[in-house]
Parts: sequence; C-alpha cells; structure tokens
Amino acid sequence: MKKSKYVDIFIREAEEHLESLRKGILSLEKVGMSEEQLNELLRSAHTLKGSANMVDLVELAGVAHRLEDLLKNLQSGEQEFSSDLVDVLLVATDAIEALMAQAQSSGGISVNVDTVVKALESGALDAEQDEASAADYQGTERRTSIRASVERLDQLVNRMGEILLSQKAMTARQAQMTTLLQELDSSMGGLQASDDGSLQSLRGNMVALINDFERDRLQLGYQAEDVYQRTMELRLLPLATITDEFERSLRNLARNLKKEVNFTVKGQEVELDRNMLDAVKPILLHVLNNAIDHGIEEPETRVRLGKLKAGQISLEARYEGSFVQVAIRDDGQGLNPEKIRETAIKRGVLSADDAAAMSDEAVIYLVFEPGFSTREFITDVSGRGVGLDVVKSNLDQIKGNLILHSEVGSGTELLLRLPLSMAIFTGLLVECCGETYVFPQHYVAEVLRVSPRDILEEMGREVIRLRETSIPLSSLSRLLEMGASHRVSERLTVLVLSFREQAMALLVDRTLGLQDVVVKDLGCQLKSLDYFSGSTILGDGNPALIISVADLFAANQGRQKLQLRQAYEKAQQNALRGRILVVDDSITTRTMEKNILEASHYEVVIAVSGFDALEKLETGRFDLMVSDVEMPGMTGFELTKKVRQREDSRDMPVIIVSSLASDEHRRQGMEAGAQAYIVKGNFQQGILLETVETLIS
Amino acid sequence: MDEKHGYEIEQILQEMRADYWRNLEVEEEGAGAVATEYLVVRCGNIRYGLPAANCREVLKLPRLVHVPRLPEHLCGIFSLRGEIVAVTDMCPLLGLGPQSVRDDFRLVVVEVGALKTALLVEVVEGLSGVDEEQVEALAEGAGAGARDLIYGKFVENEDVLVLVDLGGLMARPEMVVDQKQQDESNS
Repeated sequence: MKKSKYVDIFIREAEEHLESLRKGILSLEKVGMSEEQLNELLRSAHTLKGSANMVDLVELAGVAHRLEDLLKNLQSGEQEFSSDLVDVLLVATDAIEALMAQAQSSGGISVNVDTVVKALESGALDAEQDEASAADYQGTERRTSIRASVERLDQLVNRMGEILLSQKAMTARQAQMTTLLQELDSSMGGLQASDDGSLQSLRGNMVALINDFERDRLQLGYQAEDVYQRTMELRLLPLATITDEFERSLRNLARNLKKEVNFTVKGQEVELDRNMLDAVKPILLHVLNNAIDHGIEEPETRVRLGKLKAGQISLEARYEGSFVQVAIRDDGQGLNPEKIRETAIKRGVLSADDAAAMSDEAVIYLVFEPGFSTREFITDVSGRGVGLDVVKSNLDQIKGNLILHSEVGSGTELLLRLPLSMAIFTGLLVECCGETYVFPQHYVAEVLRVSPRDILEEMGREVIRLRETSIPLSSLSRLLEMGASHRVSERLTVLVLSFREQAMALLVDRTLGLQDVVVKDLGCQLKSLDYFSGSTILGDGNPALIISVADLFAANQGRQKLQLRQAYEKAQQNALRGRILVVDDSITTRTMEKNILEASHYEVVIAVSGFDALEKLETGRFDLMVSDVEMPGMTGFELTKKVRQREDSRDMPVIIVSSLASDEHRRQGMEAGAQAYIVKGNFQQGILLETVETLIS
Repeated sequence: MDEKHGYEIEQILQEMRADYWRNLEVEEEGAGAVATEYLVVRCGNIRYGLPAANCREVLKLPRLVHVPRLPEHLCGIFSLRGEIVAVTDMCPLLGLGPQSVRDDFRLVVVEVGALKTALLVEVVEGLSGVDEEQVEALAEGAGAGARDLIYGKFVENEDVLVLVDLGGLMARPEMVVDQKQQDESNS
C-alpha cells in the first residue's frame, strides 16, 4: 500500500474516532444505551468508513462498514444489546487500530479481518474466534499521540542543545580539577608521597570526587545525547512531504510551456528536519522550474536531437553521514557559459573583464545571482530573476552547499548538500582580533599554517598554492573591517574554505578547535547582519557570532590586496626577527656570536654567567638562548635545566655552543633540555644562523 | 549567570515599594497630582530618567562581544540567560559623544513593545517619582538635535533630571539593524 501524506492525516483523524468509539462502547455497557450515544458511535463509524475508502484502506473501510451496520441494527432494535456484543464491538475497534498501525508502518501486525467481519455480521464471537482474535491483537500496541506545535518542539531541541553544551562545559571543569590536583601535588612536594595522613586522605577524597564527577558527567552526557536524538527525530519528516506536491505543479508547468516532462523521485523516504524542508523547498522548486523552463527543449527539438520526446528530470536524495545529498538532474540543453557571460554583462551583474577572467565552471553559478536570467523573453515561471535570491539566502540559512555541473547539449546536474538539522552543527571556533567566531565545519576544507613567503601574487591578487592550485587569499579581519591587521609572523593560520566548488583561503589569528554549537538568532535588535548568519553561546556563557561563508565569498570578489607578503618583506628588512640571550664567559665568543646574530636582524642580549642569564630572563622574554657549557658558578647544562623549570621560558629553545665535543657531553646537553649542540671547533657562522632560524620559526 | 553579573533589582524593588507608599501619601495630600516612576541613571555628568515601567532589570557589565560593522551606538552583544541582547549607548543617539566604557558601568535592560535592549549607563541612582505637572520643557537650544527623544526635564533641589522618551528612542530606525534588507534596497 502506498504510504502518502494523506494516510498520516487519516491516521490522526481515525485516532480521535477510535477513542470516541471505545469510550462510547464502554459507556453503553456501564451507563446503558441512549439514542444520543448511539448516534455518536454511528457518526464515528461512518466517518471512519468514508475516510478509509478515500485513502484506499479497503480492509479498514470494510470493518468500519460492518461496525456501522451492527450499530444501525442496534439502533433499530434488530440486534439486542448484550455484553457479548460489547466484546464484538471492542474487537472491531482493536482490528481498526491494528489496521491503522499496518497502514502506517506498511505491515507488521497481522489482522484476521474475515474473523472480525464475521463476528460483526453475527453479532457474537464464538470461543474459537475469541481466542483467535485475542491472539491476533496481542501485538497491537495502543497508539496514543498528541499534536505539538513546531515552535514548542524547536524550544525543546534548543533547550536540549543547551544541556549538551553544559555537559561539555563540565568536561572542561573536570580537566581543570585534575590540573589543580596536579599543581597541588607539585607545589606540596608530592602530596601523594606525603607522610601526613590527613593530607593523604584529603587527596584521596579529592581523587574519588573527581572520579565520581566523571561518572556522573558521562551518565548525564549519555542521557542528554539520547534525549536530544529522540527530540530531533520528532522534527523529522520524509522528503515526500514536499516532493509529492512537486509532481503536480511540474506537470502543470510543462503543459503550459508545451513541453513534455517525465519527473522521477528517488529517496522520498529520506527524512529531514522540518525547518530544513521548509527552507529547501523553494530551492528545489526553483531549480526544477528552471530545468523545465530553461533546460528541457520543446518536444520537436528533442526528437530532432535524437533525445527522448519527454524531458527527463530526476530528483534523488540519500544520506551521506550527517548530511543529505539531493541531486537534481535533467537531460535538457545545459547551461551555455558564453550565453551566461553575455547576459551577465548585459544585466550589469559583472564587468566584461571580470566575465572574461572567469572560468566556464564558475560562470554557470551566475544563474544564482539576483536579477539574472538567460531568457530572451520574460516568462511567468522563472525568467524574472526573482526567486533566485531565495536560493542563495535559504542555502545560507541552512548552511548547505551547492554544486552545479552542466554540459551544453546534454543537461545539468545540481547537487545540494544539506545538514540534517538547522538547530545544531559542528563548528570550527576561530579567534580573530580578540573575538571568537564560528565557521560551520563543512565549509572548512582544511586549516593550514603558511609562511608569508608562501603568498604569491597572481594577476594582481594574492594567492597561496595548494596542491598545484592557486587559492585567493583574504583576511577575516579585513573582510569584517575590524581595522586591526594580522600580526606579521613567520607562521600564519589560514582556513581553506570551500563553497559551491570555489575555494578561498582566509587568514585568521588562530583556531580554537571543533565544537557542536546550537544556533541562535542575533536578538531582536540585530535582524540581519552581513557576514553573520546567527550566533551561539559558548561553554563560558559568552555569545559568539556564526560566520556566513556565502557572504564571505560574495565579498571576497574584487577585494584589495592584503599585501601580506610585502608587509612581511618590509618587516624582515626593518624589524627584528627575534630576541636572543647569548650566555658565555668568554668575551670573544659572545661578541662573535652577538655580531653574527645582529647582522641577521636579531636583537641580542649578553649574559656573562648562568646567574646573570637567569636575572636577564626575569627582565624580559626571549625567543632563544645560546649558551656555553663551562662557566664559573653554574654550567650551561645546569642553566638549561633551570630555564626548563621556569614557567615563561619552559618552551624557549636552547642552543649549546661548547668546545666539549664528546658524545657524553652531547647527551648531557640533550638531557638538560637543549635543542641543539654546536661544537666550537666546527663553529661556523652559517651553522649557528641556520640552527637559530630553524628553532625560532 | 555568574556572580559578577548579579542583579541589583532587589534593592530597586525595595525602593519601589517605599516610593509606592510615599506616593500614596503624596497623592492624598497633593489632590490629584500624577507621579510617574523613573529609573534615574547617569551618563557622564547628565542624569537621565528612564520610565520605570519599561525597565526590566539592572546588570553589572558582562563581557560584551564586539560585533563588527555596527554603528557606534551599538556596543556589542551578551547572553541574558541564553537570550542574545544587544547593548545600546544612548548618548550618540542623543547627540552626544559615545561613552568610554569602564568595568563598573551598568546595563539597564529595557523593553518597549517587542524590542528589548540593554542601555549602557555609568551609574544607576535609583527610582524617583516625578510629578507630571512639574515637568518642564528643555531650555531653548538644549538637546543637540535630539529634542524629540527628550520628554522634558524635572528639577528638584537644583538637580536636573532629563526625562527620556523611551518609546521614541526605541522607535528610531537606527535601533534595529537589518543589513541584508538594506543591501537589497541599495542594489
């Protein structure tokens, strides 16, 4: 039996009638029969019969029909009222319920309709029938349902999302507690090994508390995740709820345009968030309308071209991880890049130069620009250029991605990648100018660390090269007009974003990791913002803005150069490359080292002993230390060990420069925590500089 | 919400209660004089009265998240128990320079119709009943082009209280940002 949306509607209606039938039948027995009561029962049975026939549920209609007959007989007095009769009536309602469940899930519970019909006709169940029917309906679940508004479901999903986030915040709290314990251990000189019994037991209690906390947190996490999933499922509806409507409207459209179209849908059962369906519907409808209006040729033309007379349009949906991929294909004339270029120039969508510079693959996406249409004549269908904007803004709203392929003469393929839900998604948290921003993860192809030297200039645009492709480079702070420019450092963090098959490299200050985020609006005062599609609340309770990748791509076209490379080169010439502490008791060695390093734009501070070095470290930060080994009072190895123990110099690279050339000394140097060991005998300017450069960058 | 964002509403409620009884007495004595409650706040050296009926709560200043490309009277957003609320500095709208924010500033959450915002103020003094009959117009030339947002002034013991027309302020088109709509109409 074909499951259509009408069956769902019928089921909801039938549930109400079933409920009133059951109540009425039971009250017949309890209170006795009244005319009014019987009329009520008759109305329900009659409506059930009619509605079931409408949706082709013949067996259910049959049972309702016999039920109605029996009630009529009861009304006319032909049938006498008895408690056996009540059994028959109740068995009939059970049968109806089982048939409803069957219609909904396409099978499952077996119902012996003949037995029920026979009982309704005779007005009694014989012992065998009774038993049989009892067995038949044992599996029947009592289905009770209520209606809930989408808004309330949304609130529920939102709240559940918040609970999930709180649970994540608890994970961070637990890590903090563990760190605190470790710090306590180290500052109390090994609390674990302490002789003090009360301290020991205090520590033990704390460890136990942390473990209990973890168990509770995990428990809460599992429960919250489960409830969240179940709540999300409440909002899911099959794609069929929108595609059923498409068939009729496309047939009408084709007829009006004197075209023949064969429209097929696959994957109607794929379920999506209800809001997602609402947002995706205009996109699909628009693309399908376009396919008929612009894509599919007139029947005669098709025949002449050796194609089937009727144009073939297919819509196919399938799950892909946490996404749904919807493909719309037609075998029409395809999109002609040349024609699109001409029209785009004519309509002022872009300049002739820009149009010429764009690849054919990129040009076809112009059909999604507002005010664009390749039609010579304006039609009522899709030639007005309206609605296309809807595609762009809706796609942005649902954070979906779109890929368009076309071949002149053979057709067009459009792939839509949609997240299953609009309420929550995985975001990459990024810091820029002191604020945190969220990028929907599925737009981020990769995160790179690049050197300003890797930035090239191509036809007046700054690009980076990635796997033999040039990707235009932009800066988030520049696009958002935040004024502050990025620090020119040796290592830049760059996100490679992908949108509609285009790539863009975006400079940010740093990435902060992935996180599931619950989407919120921007409040009543900020109705819409360029570059932002919404907000979320982070684990620390502060809001963060969600970046609209579509807006970034739109703004990125025709932007000014960042001149990062130039800035870097300039900085290389003028600024200092790092601050180095040179420690040596020999004036010759330290002066030599100082001169070599200063000539290469490093700032050098001299220390004449280990103690002097530690004092200098107190006064400022250094990027690297070069130290001798044999020095009065404190050796270079001892100094290195102390440097490693200090909080702010723990990660500072150390180079040992010494005349001690044995392997044992080298080993001692490494053990102390030095990164490099240069023997003075082989000392060459190049080796020192090379080592310094490697360690600092 | 953590402690540092705690509310001072309790104190304000107490004052409101005291004022309520005081006003009842005043009403009895003053034969029909109508008093309206105002929340008295200070921005720089100017004391403003905000209609208390529209004031929801007073907060210590939370960390404000900066939103790029907003006009200067919008200082950022924060989460008010999960709801995103924007912070408005009314000074630029009243024709004055923007305030330089300090940590001890306060936010007054106000609501007019469906619009809610948090007004950035330097000090919240408390509630004050203002006798409508004693409300005077601003002096000629005062108000720097934003006279329509000022309901009037109330002078008590030589202290001037500038009464803000919150309805008018909140109805100003600058209060709501709809950049996408604007982009469309520009293009």
